[in-house]
Amino acid sequence: MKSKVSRRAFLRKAGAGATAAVAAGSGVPAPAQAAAAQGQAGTRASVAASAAVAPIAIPREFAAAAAAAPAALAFPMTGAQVFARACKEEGVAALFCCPGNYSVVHAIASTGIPAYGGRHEGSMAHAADAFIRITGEIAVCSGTEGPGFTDMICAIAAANAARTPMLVVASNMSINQEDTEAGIQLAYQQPTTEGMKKYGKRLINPRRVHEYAAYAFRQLRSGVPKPVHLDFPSEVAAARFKDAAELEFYFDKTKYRTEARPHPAPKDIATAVEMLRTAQRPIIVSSNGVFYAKAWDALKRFAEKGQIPVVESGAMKGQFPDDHPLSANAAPAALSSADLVLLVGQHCMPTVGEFAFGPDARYIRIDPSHEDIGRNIPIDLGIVSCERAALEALADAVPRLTHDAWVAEVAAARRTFEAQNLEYYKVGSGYTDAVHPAVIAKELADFLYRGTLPKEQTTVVSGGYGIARYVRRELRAFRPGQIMNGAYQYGAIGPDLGYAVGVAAAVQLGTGPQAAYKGHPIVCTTGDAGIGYTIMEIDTMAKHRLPAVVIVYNNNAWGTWVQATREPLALPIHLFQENLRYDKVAEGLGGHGEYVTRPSDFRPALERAYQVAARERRPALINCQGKKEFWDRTAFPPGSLGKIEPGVMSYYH
Amino acid sequence: LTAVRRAPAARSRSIAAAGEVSAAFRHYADRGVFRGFHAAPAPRGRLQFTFTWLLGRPMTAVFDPSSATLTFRTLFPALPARSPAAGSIRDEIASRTSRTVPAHKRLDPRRAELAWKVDRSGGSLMITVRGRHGEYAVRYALNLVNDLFLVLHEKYPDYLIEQFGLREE
Repeated sequence: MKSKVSRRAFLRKAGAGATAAVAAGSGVPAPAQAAAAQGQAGTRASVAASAAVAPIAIPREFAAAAAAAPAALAFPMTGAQVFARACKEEGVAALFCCPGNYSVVHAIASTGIPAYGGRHEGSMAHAADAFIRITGEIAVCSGTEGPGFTDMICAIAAANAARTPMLVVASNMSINQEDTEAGIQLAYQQPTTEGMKKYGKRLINPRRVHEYAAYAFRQLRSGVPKPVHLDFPSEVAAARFKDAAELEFYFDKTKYRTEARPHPAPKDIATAVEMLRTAQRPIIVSSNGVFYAKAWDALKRFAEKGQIPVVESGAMKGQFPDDHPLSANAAPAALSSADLVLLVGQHCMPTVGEFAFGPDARYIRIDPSHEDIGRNIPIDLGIVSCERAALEALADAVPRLTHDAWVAEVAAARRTFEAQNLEYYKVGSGYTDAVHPAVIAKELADFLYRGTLPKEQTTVVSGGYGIARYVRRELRAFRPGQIMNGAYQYGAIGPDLGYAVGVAAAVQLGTGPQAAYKGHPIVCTTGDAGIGYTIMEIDTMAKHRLPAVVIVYNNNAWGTWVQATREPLALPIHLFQENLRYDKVAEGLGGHGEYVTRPSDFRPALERAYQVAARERRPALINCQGKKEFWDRTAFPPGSLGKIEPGVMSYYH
Repeated sequence: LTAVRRAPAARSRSIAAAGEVSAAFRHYADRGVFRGFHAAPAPRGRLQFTFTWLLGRPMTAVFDPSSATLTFRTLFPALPARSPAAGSIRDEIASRTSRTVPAHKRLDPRRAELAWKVDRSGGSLMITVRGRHGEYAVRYALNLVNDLFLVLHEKYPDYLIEQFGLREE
């Protein structure tokens, strides 16, 4: 007798049931669960029905892990647990890793520090870097032995260039077998990270494991930050301690570091105020240090009292809102008029000429690192201080100043810039057989800032290469940590989806400045070159239920292809297959996919993708089919664009 | 007789202008804006200033006291005269006498005069000093050069990549 239930209906029902079971233990609000069940059932069951295979599903263990209570670490403990306990006490906000360095990462995860496992140690280290850049909190990344560790190198270098306080840990064989090449995966780790870290140590004395955790956090939480790298031989991680007496050093953090910050010398503040009094066109460059010192309120007070425009640079944007009348972020034509530049927390210094300021500009540099002041750009005044302390002192000391003509010049430059962007959009919209990057840039900005979403809501990973030349011109930040400046300084092309994991995790957890936007989807912009490195992290985002809208500009080529146009034998180096379906890859990894080939289809696809991400708490990828010839200025004006730093376009420094 | 009487005064003015121009360049070197600054006599009584500034490339300016003109010869090498980049540079220079630019960026025609020329070797910028305004002319020219590079940075990075070794990334 033939069943009354069709095979298709049965599979749909079974898929929905399985999905609902996963959602039930996920900690996701009930309406979202229902929507997730509906959405996942629709997508995944249809895959199952057509292929007669089991649907993509998040293992039940994820829900179980979300419901499990963290372990309260107490003696007796292993060396790994002692270290994990120090991480918990220090407020480490997240762990990003792949399997490996087992005893350490398991101990950290067991403390309740949110743990994210991904597909590649490099991507996870990029995730940690990004998490820190938009929260200001410490995160850990981990890899195993030689290969897992060396997979993280690009990310460590990028974090170092971005001055990110990232804690890198890796297992590293055993002290007993040092230099023998016994077994596999041996590597000398510390020499490998030379020049990429603030501090590093191979731990060789198990009894000092807590002391070296203190070394690490003292470095991470003071001065100008950079990565700290600890490598753990098995003797240290596996050591067992019955009580604190078996450790040589076991103190509370108040005993091994201080929250005190250097304050500015009063005479330096007086000199700065005098320079401000005589300046006609002063400007503040707000960078990393303002973010990490949480100095945005002091910055605003100082800028408003002195009527001083503010422009941003650095690895994150948003310390000063772009819609403030004093924001010069989108006013590049005004920058060269500045006659006094206050560089605040510009930890990664440009050289002369890399910032747009003219040859007559005088410089005040505020930085906690005495030894860096005066490097690259000669100073007229150096102030050694925590950025917040200096800005508060300046806000107190500066009289009410007026620079009306200067502010009007900035406003005029902003209008000119916006008009230029609009012109690019009009030209780009005229190319109807593919999606021009100017269309993506403008319509994304319309969606994020001029539609139904609160303009300060969405945190953005600004990545990609060619596409970024357009998108950066339109991206805006209205609160701290709203934009993660992907390519910053180290200029790696591929990390964007790793960055997206970290940013989405930060927003999922509501860490630091992301608290008010907890749970909302994030947006990541990238290119087809970049996504090739990290697209597997769609799986990571899907299984951790991280809602992200990933916009891929797919022009079938590396952005560098133009340089090889006269080299026919070299040109294939720069090219991919045409019309690749990254959206299908995303679907195959549990995400939602959209493929857009006409400019008029981009906005509807963006809205659908955002709805899926918000409703189903999973990533959505929009594959925007462009063409490489859009970088040809003669055939397709305006062609490839450049940049001016600092401000919205900046990413070098 | 008139010419003879004028000659010493003109010579005096040109010597003064040369001194002002030299001092102005030296000022930027002393402030660390330039690296590797060098001033040296050049043929026909001219003064040549070489220094490293924007994009870390050597830059040369020559001051001719007889015409009171400071020339940044081939400031933009191999720039096609009819290229969009050349047009943008020309427009930027032309705008400097317009009331649309902020007053502090506007050229004071009583103190200096600008000229721009593109030939087969590239684009050259000239500024002629009027009266005792050598310092003004140097300052104006250097600020303008900075702005012209910004035009190229924003819209024509490919030119800077090819001619100045700007990083492709």
